[in-house]
Amino acid sequence: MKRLIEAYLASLRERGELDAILPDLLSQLGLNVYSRPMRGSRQYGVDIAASGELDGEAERIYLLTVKSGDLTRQGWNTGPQAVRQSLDEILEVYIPTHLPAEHRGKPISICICIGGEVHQSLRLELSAYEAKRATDAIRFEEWNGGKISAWIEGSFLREDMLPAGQRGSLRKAMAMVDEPDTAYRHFRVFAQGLLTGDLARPHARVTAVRQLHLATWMLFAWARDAENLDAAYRSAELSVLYGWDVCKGAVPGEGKTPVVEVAFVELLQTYLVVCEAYLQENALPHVQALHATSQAVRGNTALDVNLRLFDVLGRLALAGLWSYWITKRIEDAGGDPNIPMKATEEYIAAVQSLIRNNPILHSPVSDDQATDIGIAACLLQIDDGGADFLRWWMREIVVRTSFSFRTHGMYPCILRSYGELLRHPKSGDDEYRKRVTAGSVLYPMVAFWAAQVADIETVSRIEAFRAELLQHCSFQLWYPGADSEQHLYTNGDSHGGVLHLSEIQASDSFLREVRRECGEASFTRQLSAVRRGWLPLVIAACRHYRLPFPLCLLDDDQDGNLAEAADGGAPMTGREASGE
Amino acid sequence: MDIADTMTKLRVAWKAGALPDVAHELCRADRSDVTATLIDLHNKGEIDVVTAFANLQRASSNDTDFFLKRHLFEQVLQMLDSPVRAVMDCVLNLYQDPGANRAAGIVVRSFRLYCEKVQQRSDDALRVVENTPDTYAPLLSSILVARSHWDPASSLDAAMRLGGHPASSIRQGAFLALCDLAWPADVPLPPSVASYCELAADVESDDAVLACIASAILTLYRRALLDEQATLQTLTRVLARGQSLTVRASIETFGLYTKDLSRQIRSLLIQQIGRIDTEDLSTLDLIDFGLEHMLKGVDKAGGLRLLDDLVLARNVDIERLDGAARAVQADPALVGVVVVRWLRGGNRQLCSGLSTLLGLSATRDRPLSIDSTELDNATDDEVLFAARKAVGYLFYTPVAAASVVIGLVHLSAGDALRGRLGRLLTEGLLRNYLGKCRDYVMAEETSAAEPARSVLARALQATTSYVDGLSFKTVLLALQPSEAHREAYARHFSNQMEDALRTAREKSFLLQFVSHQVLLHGNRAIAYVHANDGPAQRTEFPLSSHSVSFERPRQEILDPVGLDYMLRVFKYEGHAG
Repeated sequence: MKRLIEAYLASLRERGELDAILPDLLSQLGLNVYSRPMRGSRQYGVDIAASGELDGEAERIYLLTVKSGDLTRQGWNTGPQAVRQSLDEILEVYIPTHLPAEHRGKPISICICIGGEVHQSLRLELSAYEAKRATDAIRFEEWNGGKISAWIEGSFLREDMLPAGQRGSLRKAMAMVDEPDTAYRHFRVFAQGLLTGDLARPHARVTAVRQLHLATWMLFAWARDAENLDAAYRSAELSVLYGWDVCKGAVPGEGKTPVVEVAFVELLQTYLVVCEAYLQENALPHVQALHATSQAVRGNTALDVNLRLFDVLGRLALAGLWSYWITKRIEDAGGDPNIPMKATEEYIAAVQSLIRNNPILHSPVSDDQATDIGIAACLLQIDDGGADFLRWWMREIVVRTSFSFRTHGMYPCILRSYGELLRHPKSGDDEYRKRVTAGSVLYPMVAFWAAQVADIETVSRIEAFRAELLQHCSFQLWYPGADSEQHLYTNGDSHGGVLHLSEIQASDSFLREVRRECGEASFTRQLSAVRRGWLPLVIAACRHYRLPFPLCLLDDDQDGNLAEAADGGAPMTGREASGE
Repeated sequence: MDIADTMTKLRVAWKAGALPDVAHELCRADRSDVTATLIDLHNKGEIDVVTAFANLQRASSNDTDFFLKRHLFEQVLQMLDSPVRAVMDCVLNLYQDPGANRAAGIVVRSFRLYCEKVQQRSDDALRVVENTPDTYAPLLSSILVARSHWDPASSLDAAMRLGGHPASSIRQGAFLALCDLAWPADVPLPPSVASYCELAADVESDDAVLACIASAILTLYRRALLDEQATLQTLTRVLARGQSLTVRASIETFGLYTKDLSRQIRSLLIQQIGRIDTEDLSTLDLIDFGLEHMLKGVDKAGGLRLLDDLVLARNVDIERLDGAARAVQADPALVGVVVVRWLRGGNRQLCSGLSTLLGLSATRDRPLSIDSTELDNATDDEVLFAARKAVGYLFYTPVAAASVVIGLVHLSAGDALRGRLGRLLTEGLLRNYLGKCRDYVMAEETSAAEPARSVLARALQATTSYVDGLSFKTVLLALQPSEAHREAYARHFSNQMEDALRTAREKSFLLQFVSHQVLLHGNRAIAYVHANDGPAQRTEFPLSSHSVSFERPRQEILDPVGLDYMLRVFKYEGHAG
């Protein structure tokens, strides 16, 4: 395992990537991390600062300067991020002027923290530098990949923390990253193992979230090397959902965020990094060209393209909703929302381009693709000009699905397994068609969004289609229930309930009916993620576990914005940790 | 084998009651020896071939040797010295053997030659028929024809006399005899024959006899023994009274002797097509045969009208009209006319059959010519309509479809229309087929004159931009189907192929006659073939592989519903307004 971790550390490309796990590691080692990595520049050479006892020594201050990969001559003394310059700044500026008052007078370790090794050619020079500047109170330490991996193994992956079977699952997940289904399956076994452990003690919960975080990072690094981020994406999403399930019970202290929630935020940030990496590589650069993303699937059949494209659509739209959520948080905190809003707008534009240039996204083949359509529609309607696009897209979906249904083409069905979908449709078989269209969330979902953008014609068209050919089909919408809080994040069991729609009337009454049920069953607002302001987590859970997009997440007002948190919410970063 | 040996074997076989079997076996070794020996032995009175073959019957429905044995009898019959009655009985037996009527006419023809050899034979045979009409009527026409070689006038009289016989079968034989009656070329047929036929047509009510009258009239016309007017007059009456057999007889003449018929007579016969049962494939084959001749030059315009009529009014599947298809395919000018006329008309039945008519398939895709005269007075909308039909109906033969669209570009006036056609070429065809179709358009662009050249250049440029947008520096592994999905698809595809292979084998004509062997290794099959005598012969069959490949339209994978939708719109949309 240690070798795997060493290889993982060496593969981290950016300084920020190594930064991401070190605070968790130091905390897990028992140190108190009082300065965390900041985006952009270092604090006078210090990336992370912590205090405490390590390896049985008396309390010391640890000032870390972090460098990814190996330390070479160039990394040592070239450029603004050179390690030598950072060390000079620590010695000359940070220690004399920025060391917190409560830590003054304590022995200090300046740690050169690298994912790999110090190059042999630099060894002599580094030793000379350290010898010249070391004092009784200040010493230099070299934290290389070997040392850090030993700590990681000791802190997170010890036998008492992680049974051999689980470690095996993590190893298998990493070994199989180029087979995402398999890798994800192993990762899920690993993650489930964490959740089934004894999480009664707060410390155990924090450790579990940190373990998820570390494992997510390791899988990400591995997947990146394999140039296939699919397993990393799915595992990261699972980690976040599991992480929230662990974290949600923590009670905020007075003005302080529970440690487990801080750990969760770190995990969430990593998840967002993975999302962005996935989308930057697989979606965003290609959405502008006609058929490009569809072509990239290199599918044997149209089914391959269809399934993957809706999957990508859901991921892209969810990333847009996270971006929008961040914007709102920044706005609420009085910050400048323009920068993240620009990112949200870019996501909206990307979703529009993806849909426009990949017409297979007008032809859902599986009813559970209503989820992806719901997420995308939710994002699109944020934009002022989104209504027109949404109107066009919903109309296209209705035209195409009703056409496919009539011609026994690739019409939406309730089948889910790939094997069954491969055999779908069975030409000219009316009985089969009835059987595989016995129920639908998709049509009501499309009708809802069409109604939302006041497209009465499309709503009427769906109702006419239902009356003519889908009398046998049970139109329904899913709502979270009292049991959803228990199962939503882990998919432990089926939960929630469905509203049967005997008919889809004119858009207004249809919307009223849908909203009335939201009012009747207020379970959505009772979900911990909604109450605590982590609303996109609910959408992520729906996407991950293929649950329909819960329409109750939308505001009751007519503009359909995402609902606000019931009792405020946690910011992405910056709150001080309580002492859990 | 020497003749003496053959003779001995035949003598022994005659005594053992196995003459047909042994003669057939010996015939396999040396046919001429056996037939000559059979005749010789029969005429010497050592054996009786007629008696021996009189009882020949098929052992089973698979008894193909029956026909070979009967053929042996047919070869020797005319040379045999045998009593007429015995020969007639034998011939009738071989003619009427249940299930043995495949090529049964040959034995009757042999009988006619037997009668021709000696005048007395036909006289005797005619007497036998007249005395026992119920039994021997099937031989009447042969007897009368044979007799006409010796005495044409009296044979004609006999035929006309027997045409009024109470027995329908005798009347049929009498009129059929008129078809082949040996009549001197320089002597006109007595006028009484025409009026006789006319009269018969007015009084006859038996469809089978009317069919024979129709055949007789048309044959006499073809032999220039009856003029066009008389033929038309009588034929009209016959057809008016006749039913399915009469119609079938007239269609037979249309199919087999199309070019021998005048336009008016042909037209009269074509009118009868409306009365046929289009499920009757043999009649349909005859019509197709006639149609093929019309399209090959007898009357192209009439042929095209008939083709339209068969498909539209009679719902005949174009697949059944393979002769017509061959004629059209062999004539580029005709292709040009059909393509534009049918696509411009937009009729679903015709357009759906266009590929079949032109012999197009994914593996047999080729450029089509188009006839500019068919576009006379066409509006821009009509030209575009035809182009969309071409894409809709010829989509799976993209070179053919592109050639039509390009042809229309060449014939179009106005930049706006040319631009729309260019976009149709790009969006409908080039984006789907980046291989042969694109190569074809590139070649056309090189040779095209302005302004068509610019249209093609823009279409190709748009395609290049599209392709550039699809080019990735790296393979996006995260988007690709998982191994499990790939395996599931491979299994699914394998099952589909297995089903297709099984269906193909079930329908295979070849596999009904050959055995099927599975070879596990190697690239040639070796077998030892055992002949009747001598050592087994070693034969070696080298194996070769056969494969076909064709380009799948990209939208089938990238946007199947969109493709289906587009093609259906193109196919089923009507004319604007």
